Amino acid sequence: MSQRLRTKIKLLIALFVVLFMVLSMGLVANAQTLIYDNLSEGNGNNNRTIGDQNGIFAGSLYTAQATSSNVNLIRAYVAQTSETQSSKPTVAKIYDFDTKALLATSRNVISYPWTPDTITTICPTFNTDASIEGCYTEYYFPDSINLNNNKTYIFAIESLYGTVDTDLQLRLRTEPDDDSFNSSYLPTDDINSITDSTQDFIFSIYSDYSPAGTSTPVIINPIDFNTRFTDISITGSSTSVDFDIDYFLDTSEYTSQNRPDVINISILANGFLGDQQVDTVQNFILPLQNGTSSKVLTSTYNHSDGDYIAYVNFFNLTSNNLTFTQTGIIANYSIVGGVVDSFSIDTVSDGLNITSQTQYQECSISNIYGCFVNALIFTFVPESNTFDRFVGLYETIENKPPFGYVTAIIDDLSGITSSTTPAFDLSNIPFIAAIFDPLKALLAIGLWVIYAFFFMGRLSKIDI
Amino acid sequence: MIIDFIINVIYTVILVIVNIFATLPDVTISADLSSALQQISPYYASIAIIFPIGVLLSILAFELVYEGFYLLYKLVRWAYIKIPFVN
Repeated sequence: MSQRLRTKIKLLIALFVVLFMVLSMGLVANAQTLIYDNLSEGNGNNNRTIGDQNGIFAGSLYTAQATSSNVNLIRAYVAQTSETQSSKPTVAKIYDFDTKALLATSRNVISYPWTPDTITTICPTFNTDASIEGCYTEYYFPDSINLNNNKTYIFAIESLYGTVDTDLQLRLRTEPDDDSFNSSYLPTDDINSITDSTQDFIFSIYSDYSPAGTSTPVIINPIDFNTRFTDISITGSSTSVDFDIDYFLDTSEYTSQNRPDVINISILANGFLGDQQVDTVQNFILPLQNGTSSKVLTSTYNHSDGDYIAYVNFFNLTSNNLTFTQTGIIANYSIVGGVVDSFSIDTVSDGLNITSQTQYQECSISNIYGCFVNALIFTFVPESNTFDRFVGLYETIENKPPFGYVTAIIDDLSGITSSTTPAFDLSNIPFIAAIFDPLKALLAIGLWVIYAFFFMGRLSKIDI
Repeated sequence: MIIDFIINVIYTVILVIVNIFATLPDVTISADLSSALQQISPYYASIAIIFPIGVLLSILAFELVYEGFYLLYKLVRWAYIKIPFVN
């Protein structure tokens, strides 16, 4: 065998080694990358797609609850603002999250001060609240619906009024303090620009109000277009924090390329989201199944007292070309005295719409350029699912000899962590961290360098 | 379309090789070995504060992967030279 051929084979073996390691760690790495690259992205008001409908905050209910003397129920409404058309059939429903039982169906009412006969093309402001302008159509639930403590509901609009951009507001009203309607609406500014009147969408309502009417807030979780949403509660101690996740997933509306297949939880310490870097301390991945499910994921990360953020999001780990949008929960929690002191869903990320740079364009006599682009895309750009199959290949052989021995040993090695209770504790020795932390960094670099020389030397003498 | 074709050819070749291994039984390693590795954890936790044991484990994992692929190559090579008229 010629020396040149041997060199090529050696390089090939080295390439395989690197490829194997990349495949081994690919799933987690993929999730981590997606989170931070896209948290701050949004689509703008005129480019809403499935999954973008999110961003309800519960803040407005604080005021209403604080002034209530005996809150015993919360009533839900959805209203359209800037409405310019007369009444059309619209159906909205509330379901029990756990049982999917239908609790109530709306009736379509054109409310004060407008009636269908008086609807005009321009709707003036109907009250003094600047955030509620125009006339509105109120889809009123005729029966009082008690939204019980610590329970999740689905609020679904099954057919939407109109086919043009329509601003919607989900309104919750506490009772008996219902004389001040406007004090308890939820400013759902992000629910807008819905252009498809036939699509449903679902709100997850998590109520946690106090029967005594104290200031405990009602929390509205991320809403989602009809196919997925999640809910989370956080309990535990500094050594074991449980994330109880409820999710709903309807895969019937997804293609294989854009279907969420995992929920990822990233615990962030002392970071904040958006354009700023955050410090990730732990990641979880929860495989998803169709339908409704509840799952507790336990963090064994050693939380010191302080504030943390858990970012919970849907991901598709197997697709390279995501047209799938995602909605996430950003939950704040704090550890005080070694236990989870409180948690709250602070905000919701805007929807993600990863747009391919190679989108097909209009091909017409006025846009010949688009025709060429389409032709090039058809010729050279691979389908997104072309790469999906390679992921399954690794799973096929990971437990087979000889790969299985490597997989098994690596699995066992990965179970060795520094978070285990030490056999003898050196951490209490004064200044040990100050002395050995920089030394460890140098040692780590030195070990890798030594191994690199050793490995290259061995590779050059390999018997092929 | 062209890239799809190339990738599909590569995929088919890999699939043939993978399917050979897929017919083999799953690997089971000795429970004693797993137990022994688990018993390392408390000592690892103690020493990790003064020595980057994680790096050593990473190097060990890298070595195992390398040896696995080298073994695979030798197996394929052994089978390859069994083909008549191949040196």
